[in-house]
Amino acid sequence: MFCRDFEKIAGDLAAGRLMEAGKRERALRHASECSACALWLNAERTLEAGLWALVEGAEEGEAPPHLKLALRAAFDRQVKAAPIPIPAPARPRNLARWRLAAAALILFAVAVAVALLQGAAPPNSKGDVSGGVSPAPRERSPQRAIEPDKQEQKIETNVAKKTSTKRHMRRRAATSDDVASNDETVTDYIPLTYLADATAVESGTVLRVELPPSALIAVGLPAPVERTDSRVKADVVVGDDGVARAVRFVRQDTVRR
Amino acid sequence: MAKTLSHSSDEELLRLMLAGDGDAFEALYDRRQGGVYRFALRMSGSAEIAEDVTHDVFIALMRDGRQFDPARGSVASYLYGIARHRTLKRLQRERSFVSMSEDGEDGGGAFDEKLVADGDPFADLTRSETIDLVRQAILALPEHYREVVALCSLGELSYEQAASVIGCPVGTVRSRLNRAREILVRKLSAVKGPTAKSAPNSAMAAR
Repeated sequence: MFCRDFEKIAGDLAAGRLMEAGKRERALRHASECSACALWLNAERTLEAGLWALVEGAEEGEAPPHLKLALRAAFDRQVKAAPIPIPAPARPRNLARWRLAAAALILFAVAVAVALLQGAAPPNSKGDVSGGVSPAPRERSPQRAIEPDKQEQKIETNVAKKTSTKRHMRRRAATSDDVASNDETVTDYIPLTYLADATAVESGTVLRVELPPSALIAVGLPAPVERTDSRVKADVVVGDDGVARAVRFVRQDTVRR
Repeated sequence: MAKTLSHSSDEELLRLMLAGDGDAFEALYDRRQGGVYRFALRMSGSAEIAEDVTHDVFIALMRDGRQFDPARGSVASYLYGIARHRTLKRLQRERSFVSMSEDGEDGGGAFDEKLVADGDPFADLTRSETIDLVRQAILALPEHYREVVALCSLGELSYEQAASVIGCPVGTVRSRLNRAREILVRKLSAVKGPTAKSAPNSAMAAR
């Protein structure tokens, strides 16, 4: 047997597949005489054994369980946010149009009625106490005078000392630091788990980074359903000592201008 | 209900899922997540990427599942197709996870010393070492060879399904698989370098 012939059947030989007994015997004899083909056969056997072990999958396992929970939560959120339309069979198309037209007609009638009533009502005078329609003047200025102090206190509160784990997304108006064409939605700052009061940051830097979505799941946030890219942006508060103190996640909304 | 779902086809589960059935989604996830996760893991060598890819695949299924066309392939092929796209995208971004061959497309050149198997592998290496050797060798393959190994040799897909995932003819899958196997064997053999393949063949004239 030649080496070329041996190479053709080395895979079958290593895998223990059925072959003609004489052919098998000749191949093994050739391998015992040719060191290069013997090594080739050993490599084939190694590959075969490794592939079989990998196919069994015991070493590589499956996706972690928390991923299933996160995905199920994302699925439920998606269904809740935008109920999936279940196609109703045999519904005439014209019915929807008629309903739409009827709704528009009702709205128009209500609008006309309101306009007529407003036109017929006497103009409000300042002394007319009985005018229930007129809203009472709001005296909120004293309260508002107090609020700035509270706000300043809130601002002065160290970011790293925040213990609130509320993860409601809040919309932030674009500031001069932001990219002018983008709005951002950010989470609250989430203190990192190893943070202690003693290590609270006095001064530091906020770094904008991109993280894999598993970082969201790691801090207990739901993974975004609408994400199109596989990275999420985040602001990390890093102290002067280089230790990360808190993180918040950022979503850049599409421009609606 | 759960028993019914476990016997449902992938297509039926997808249909129910798209109608808002969370249990159907879970059943489909349970059935397919392992394959998708392992494919991404074998392609990337990174558990983090594999997890992210698995996540992305099922999020994409929720969002774009209506685009599935049974005429183009099975649900499994559809999922592997998304996984392949996402994995390759991630690998482009994070090349550092994969040690690619430096000697041209075939990757048949320089090979890691760790991939050298001396003597009888069953005598010299433990099972885990063998697995590690093979895993490293697969990770060192060029991507177009690695994916056919991950899909066909290691995955549950037939050549036809792999062809629909990759978007190439079945013959291409076969030839890539043969070539990939040849590269793997070469990497796993001790003495066969870039020219070793021709060495036994040239020696055959003397025999």
